[in-house]
Amino acid sequence: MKISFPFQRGRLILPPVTIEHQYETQPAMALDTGARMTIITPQLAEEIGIEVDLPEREVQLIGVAGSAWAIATVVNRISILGLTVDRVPVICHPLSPRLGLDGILGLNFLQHFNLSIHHDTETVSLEKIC
Amino acid sequence: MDENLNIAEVMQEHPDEWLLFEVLKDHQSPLPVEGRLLFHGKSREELHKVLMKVRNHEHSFLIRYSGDPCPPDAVVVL
Repeated sequence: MKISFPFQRGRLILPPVTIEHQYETQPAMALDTGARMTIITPQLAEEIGIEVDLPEREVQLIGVAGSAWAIATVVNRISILGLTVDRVPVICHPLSPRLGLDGILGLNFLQHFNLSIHHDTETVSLEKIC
Repeated sequence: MDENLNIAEVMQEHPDEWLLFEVLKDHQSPLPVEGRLLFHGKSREELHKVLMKVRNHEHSFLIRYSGDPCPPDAVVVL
C-alpha cells in the first residue's frame, strides 16, 4: 500500500499522523529523516495516556544545539493515512513552543517505509515495507 | 462550538493559534475534513487542559497549529 500527502516546499513536512495509546489523537508532528528516534512532548504523552511520571528509562538526547536527558517509552501505534507501525519506541521531551509541534517522526518510525519527497509536486509518498 | 466545522477554514480564521478538534474515529478515511472545535488560542498548555478533560475512547482529537512553525527570525534545525 502506498499513500501520499502534500507539503509546502521549504517548510517543515507535517504528515497527517494518528497516535493511538489509551486515547487517540492526531497531533502536529514533523517528519525528520535526520532524527534517529521519534520524539513526543510530555503534554502529548499525557494526552494519549502515557504515565510520564513513571519513566521506563532515561536516555541522553544529543542534537545540534546540545544535549539533554529525556524519558524513553513506547507508543502502542503510530499511523499515517492508514499505514501503521505498532509498539513504536519514542523519546518524551519538550520542544520549543515556537515550533508549533507536538513531536517529531524519526527514523525508528520511518524505517518501516520507503519514503519519497517530491519537491516538484510538493508531495511525500510512503510505501510500507513488507 | 457544537457544530462540525471545516478544519481548513477554521485554521484560516484563527491564524497563529493552537486548535483542538473532536473528530470521528474513522480509519477508513483517516484525513478528517470536519470537526467540532473545542479550543483555539495561543497557549498549547491551555489546549492540554481542555483535552485532558474531554478525551474519551469514542473520538479522535485533532491538534493543529495554524501559524508558521519557521519564524522569520529563527532557523529551525530539528
